[in-house]
Amino acid sequence: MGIMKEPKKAEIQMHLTEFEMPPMQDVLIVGRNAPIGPEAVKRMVDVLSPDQYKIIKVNHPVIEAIVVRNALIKMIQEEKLSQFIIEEGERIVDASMIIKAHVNITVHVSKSIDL
Amino acid sequence: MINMKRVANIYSKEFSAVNVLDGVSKIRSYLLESGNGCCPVMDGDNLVGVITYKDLLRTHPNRIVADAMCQEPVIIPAEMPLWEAKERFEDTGLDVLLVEGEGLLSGILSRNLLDIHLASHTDLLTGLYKSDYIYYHGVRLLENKQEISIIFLDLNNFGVIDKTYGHTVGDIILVEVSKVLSENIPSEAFLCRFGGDEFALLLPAHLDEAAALAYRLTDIIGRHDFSYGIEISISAGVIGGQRHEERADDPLNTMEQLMNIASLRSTEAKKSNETRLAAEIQGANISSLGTAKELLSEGMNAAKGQFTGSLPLRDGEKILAI
Repeated sequence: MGIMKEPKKAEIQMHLTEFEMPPMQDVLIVGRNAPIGPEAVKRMVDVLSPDQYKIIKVNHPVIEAIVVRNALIKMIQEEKLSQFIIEEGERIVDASMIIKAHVNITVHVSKSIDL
Repeated sequence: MINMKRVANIYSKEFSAVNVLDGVSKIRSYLLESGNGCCPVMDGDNLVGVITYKDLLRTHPNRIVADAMCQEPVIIPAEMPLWEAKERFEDTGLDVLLVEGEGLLSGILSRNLLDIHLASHTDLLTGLYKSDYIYYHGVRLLENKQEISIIFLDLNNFGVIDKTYGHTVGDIILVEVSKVLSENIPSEAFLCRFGGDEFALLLPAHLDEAAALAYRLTDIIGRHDFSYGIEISISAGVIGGQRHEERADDPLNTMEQLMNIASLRSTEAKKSNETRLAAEIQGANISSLGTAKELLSEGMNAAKGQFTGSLPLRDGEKILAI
């Protein structure tokens, strides 16, 4: 009895998206055992986007550091922003993860003027 | 002449530096192959940290060395005494110190290497440090112009105990004595087993305080219930002083002389059946330190009045002033 040979087929798919420069958004949360540490992130960011991000090392059991876009720190005090990011980040991050976060800050201003 | 061991005598002079951008897994393999436990980390020509095998083990293998190393290396001079290096390890919590010689990075001192060498300065029977420990702290205190006192303690008739009960029992007694002494000295005192049945105690305190402590310790030892109901007594020799100004001579020599005088005093005390403490009231100026013989004769008269009047004595006790 002969063996039927089925023809081999390959399927190729390609997804095209724009490369982000740098490949992160407003905030990166680096876990303590993440494959990329804060120094490596800093050097990468410094090469790709000099002077645009700041690394803040934190004293936290799971999170080693957060990398924050400088523009955000200009809008909100660094300590308050870090505290907010850590409070929200620690709910989903574990020590081996690196999470990128998009942070929108909207400032509402209301003033009364004399008519 | 006592030779105080220094970092220069023991540190590893053969080492290789790694690049701050090297990968953790690469450096882990390198250390494993080379047998080294750590190496300095360079960023170009700048020393930026130290990495140890322990650092590498607890870091993700994909990371770069910059994310695994200790970023604040501590550099010590090669001339630093071993005991000071030990204090530096304890203060910093680091596992590795870098060693500088003649202005250049010349090697590495690991905590393990230091502990191995210091183990030879520990008495295996009692667990107390040996005399090197006292000499180091004495020199340090003298250099800081602090008041110091030395109490030299010598068990009475210990040879008879060894011969009557055997050396094993003698060892048990020595362990018990060291335990009693350790439990009854102030936290700032430094105790060592000086030799056979001799112990030395260094205090950052005035001679009066040391003499009072010596009395208390001889009393405690005398009252303690030792194994096999053996009665133990101890003789003490005390000396103290302070450096008031910078001096060209080596403070280690001064410590040697002080220790020698204290030991001679304990011998004198031992010779008298009625006496358990020999102390010298010799002003507080070590800069006037002469030979042991001169000091012994100078201090002889001064000691009498002070201790007889100020320290409580038990019935039948008397102080020998030498």
